[in-house]
Amino acid sequence: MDLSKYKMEDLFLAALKAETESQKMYMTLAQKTENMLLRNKLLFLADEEDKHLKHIERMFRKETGIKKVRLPTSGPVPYLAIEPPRASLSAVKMMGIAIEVEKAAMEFYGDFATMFPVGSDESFLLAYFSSMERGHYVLLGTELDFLKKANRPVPMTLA
Amino acid sequence: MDEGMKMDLERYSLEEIFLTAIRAEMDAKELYGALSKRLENVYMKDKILFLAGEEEKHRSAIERLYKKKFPKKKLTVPKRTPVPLPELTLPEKGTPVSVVLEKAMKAEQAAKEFYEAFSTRFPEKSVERKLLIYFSNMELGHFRLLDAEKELMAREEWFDTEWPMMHAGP
Repeated sequence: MDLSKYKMEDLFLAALKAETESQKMYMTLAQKTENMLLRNKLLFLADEEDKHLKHIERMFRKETGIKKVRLPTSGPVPYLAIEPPRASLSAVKMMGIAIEVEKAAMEFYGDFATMFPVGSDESFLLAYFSSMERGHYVLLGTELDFLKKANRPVPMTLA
Repeated sequence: MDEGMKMDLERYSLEEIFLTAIRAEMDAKELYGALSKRLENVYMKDKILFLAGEEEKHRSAIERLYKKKFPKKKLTVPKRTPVPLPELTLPEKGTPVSVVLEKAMKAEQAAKEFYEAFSTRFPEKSVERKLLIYFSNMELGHFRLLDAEKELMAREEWFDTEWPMMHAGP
């Protein structure tokens, strides 16, 4: 994605918004999942998104000089909007949504990293976040493959 | 990872298989615990601690299954796994993190195959079988997670070196 046409502030806000929503999504999914092991995994992912959020917040303040973060409901930077998971949604569908979100985040951070000088802390951190989102994608992908193959061998339904 | 590989557990008793699972989970947890202490990168440290936590949950679940299956036996965990699996000795000082990761990946691959084979010792629709298949898949997830970290490490030389932003708390 070509991010050069966007203001730095908008890019940060898009990242903050995406991390906030991802974190919420994983928390909701975790609460609705009966499988303890999967719940643990989702809480781990929520925690990683929360850490990203805090790092991005710090970078946002440093780069823009704006102290108070006001998350927009929408912005110029396109990102994957996350609909709150509904109880009727199957685990497979939810995993599918989460995977798409992670894929988009991976690409976004990869491109965002290039907006900073090569070798800078910022470029470094954003590239690392991109890799982490890839890790999430892989983790969820393994889970999804299994769900599809095994036809719910352990409780996966939503409460 | 060769996902089609199958482990043959025919010659082992069910008890030996259980004890192997318990010992292997204990060793894996210990390895991840030791590795996490060596890491400066707080993100990776958390990831490794997460894996240690998952292995601990596996051990506890397998122990419960063991007690259900052998209610009259006292559980004595052997020092080595009765079924040969990649050894998970603690890394010596100075061992590069990449080497430990590779070792862990081999163990995760073997664990995935082991649980798959273990599951076939139980009836097709039994809870035990489903749980062991799920564990097999979890080990596959661990393998892939470690693989992603290793790949990152190959790309970025800073992987296991100190980097201020990584261990500053949020």
